Amino acid sequence: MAYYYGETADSSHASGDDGGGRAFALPVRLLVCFFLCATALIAKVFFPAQTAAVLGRLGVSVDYREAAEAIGRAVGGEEEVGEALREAWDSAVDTADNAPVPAAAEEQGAAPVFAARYEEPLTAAYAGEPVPAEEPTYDEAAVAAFRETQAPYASRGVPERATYEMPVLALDCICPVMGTVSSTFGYRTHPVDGAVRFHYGTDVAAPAGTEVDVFADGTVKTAGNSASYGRYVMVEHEDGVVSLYAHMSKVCVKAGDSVLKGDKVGEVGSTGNATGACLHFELRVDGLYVNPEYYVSWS
Amino acid sequence: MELKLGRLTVRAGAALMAAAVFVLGGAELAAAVFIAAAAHEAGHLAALRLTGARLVGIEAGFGGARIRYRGRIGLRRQAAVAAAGPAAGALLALPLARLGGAFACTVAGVSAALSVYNLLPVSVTDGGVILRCLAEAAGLAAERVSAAADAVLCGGLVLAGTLVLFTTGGGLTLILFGVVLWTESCKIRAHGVIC
Repeated sequence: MAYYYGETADSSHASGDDGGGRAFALPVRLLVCFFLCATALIAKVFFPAQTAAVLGRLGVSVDYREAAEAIGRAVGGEEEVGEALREAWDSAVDTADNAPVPAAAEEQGAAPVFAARYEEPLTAAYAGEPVPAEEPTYDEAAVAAFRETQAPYASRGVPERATYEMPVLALDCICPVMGTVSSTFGYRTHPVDGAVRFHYGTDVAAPAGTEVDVFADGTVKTAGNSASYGRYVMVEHEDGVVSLYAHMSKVCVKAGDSVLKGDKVGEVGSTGNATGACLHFELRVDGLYVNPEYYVSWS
Repeated sequence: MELKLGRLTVRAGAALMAAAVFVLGGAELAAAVFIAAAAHEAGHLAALRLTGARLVGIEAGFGGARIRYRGRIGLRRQAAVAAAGPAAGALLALPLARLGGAFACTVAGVSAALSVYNLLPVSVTDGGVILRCLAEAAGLAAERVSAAADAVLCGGLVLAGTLVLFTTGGGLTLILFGVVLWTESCKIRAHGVIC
């Protein structure tokens, strides 16, 4: 960030900024500068959530620190350079994998990319599914509806670490945050680049600063920060159930904390690989990602 | 408009830039930028000392810092002084990144990014200084070469930023970056910088 210049014999040409002709403008510039600094600092220190929301609306909800860290890790050889650059690019240019769904789609609740056009019958696509068929499910209609949305991607099969089944949870659970589902669990075609990726959780758009409550009783396993998840919390519940809350602006718990259903774990934000304020919610049962929408209704 | 601390002059623009970094990236990023910038300037100063030129002062402003010195030094040495900043940045980044840890990696990342950025051949950066030295050494009109490089790079950044904005709904980072680079470069060229 530096440039420098030399002076040959004397300093006669030194920075013309403060020439006499502009003397009257000086107090004004100083005032504007002071005002901008003061506003920015007060906003950031005392109203962090609102500042994040305003920046988000201006299109600069970007985690520059995260981008810098990713580059640092690449320099240290800790991360593959290509991967780190991709992360840095994602953080800095703010093209998230899990949010840019058109507003119209958000309102309908389901992304239009899922509009099921499935002429092909469901055949061997689910043969490799890791969950036994007898796994109990208690809302067959919901599972069938979800499978329909995934029909266009049948040829890809179910990712190894995920299941389309709906295991019964012996837990009392609540909805972590009220909002609009902006990206559903499962395969989706990226609205812009057309690439098909599997989304291992559900994104719920909600105003930045909205309280995020824990899904059920449990113990905080991780409270951390990552390039893709941003500030996130992972909570272990009974019976091998794990829930994860990502992209938060603020985390209110630390690893090892015991939490009760409905306790606040953080606030909605847009940290990590996210455009705009949303909660990325993941649910794992016995190590397999399940569709959170089976268990939670967001409004 | 400015704060004088010995040979160091801090202009109001520097405070504005610090505030902007703090708002966009938080206290940790601001601290990392400060450390990386200090290492970068230290590189310039060390090299300048080796050339035998006399330091007049350092001026921190919105777009970075300017080092003013007195005494004529050859083109090759000017380029070396310019390159010493990014080199110091790399020297800081490598061990810190090996050390690991979130903050060390952040400083390393900022330092590495700063060094790469400073090697861009735009008037406002060290790369621009090196480009001017090269152009002069090759007997070309350095001013024109600089102006052309500024237009191509800043224009390209803004264009790429606009494309990103409209195709992927990405943020304004690239556009802002291009515009700031352009205005700062124009200022530098308007002031008739001698290098």
